[in-house]
Amino acid sequence: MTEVPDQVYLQRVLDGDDNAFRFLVDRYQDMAFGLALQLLKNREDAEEVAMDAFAKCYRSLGSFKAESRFSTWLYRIVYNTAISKGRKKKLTVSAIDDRIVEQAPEQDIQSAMAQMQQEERQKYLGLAMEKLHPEDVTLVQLYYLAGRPTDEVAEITGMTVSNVKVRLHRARKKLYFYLERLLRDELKTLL
Amino acid sequence: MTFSEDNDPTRNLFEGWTPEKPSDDFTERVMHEIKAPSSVSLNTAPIIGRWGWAGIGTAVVGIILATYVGSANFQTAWWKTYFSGLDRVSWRPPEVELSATTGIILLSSVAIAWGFILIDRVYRINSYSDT
Repeated sequence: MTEVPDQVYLQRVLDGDDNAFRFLVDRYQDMAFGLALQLLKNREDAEEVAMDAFAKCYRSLGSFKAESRFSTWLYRIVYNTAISKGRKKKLTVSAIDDRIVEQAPEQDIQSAMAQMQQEERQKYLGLAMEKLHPEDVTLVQLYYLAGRPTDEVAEITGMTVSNVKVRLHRARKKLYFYLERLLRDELKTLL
Repeated sequence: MTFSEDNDPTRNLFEGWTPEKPSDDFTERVMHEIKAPSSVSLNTAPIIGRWGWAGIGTAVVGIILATYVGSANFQTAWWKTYFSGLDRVSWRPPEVELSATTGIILLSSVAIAWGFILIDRVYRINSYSDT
């Protein structure tokens, strides 16, 4: 069964059927909430931001020109709202040296992770992602979880495509670095 | 080593990822929020907000005050003579003298009014077009 395109629901909302917006909220709430959660690290704040973003979308629907996907537009609003809220809360992140990060054995980590159960793999990935800079997590999330190409990630975050690629490259390196720390014992048995 | 979108083995790590979910009533709360009477868009919101009206009110009061203070017969104000009937037959519009006092009143009221109007604009831009 094919999925009803967003545009159909958007048109219904513009025609006065508010309830059609419900389908869009159902469709994108997990990703919108997940994005905000990674940036804010707090469920209540993340829900507030995601709700706020949906409400802003609804109110500005008349000005949405459909030049990009609805979800791209929504994620951009979530991102901007979360960054704005995060700035007020002054999120702290740890900084690590890029030279150390370069040394992580990516293939060994991939092999070790491939042998794990899905739940365990997600647990370690989640722990490693928690250590990344919130904006890097957003890039990882949009690129790897939402499956958005780099040009769309750039549109959502307001970065240039080359900047997105550079940051994704570094974020991936850092992810492997933290995974290596978490999986140190398992990697020893593997090697 | 540069970033490549093709054949990226890191994608395999995220396969089957279960996203974090918001609370069960999230959709209902969003629908309640957008259906609330206070939800107005920039397109449907009145052109002048409460701060804007405060600005307009200040400007009007300032102009009236300056006119009153600047009227030639300030002691026996022109409007008093008009309404008491003493001078109604020969009544003429007040001759407003532009003095330093009237100038200060006018300028300060216009400045305050402009301040209010700016607050109105900024408040509304932040409230509705943060997209």
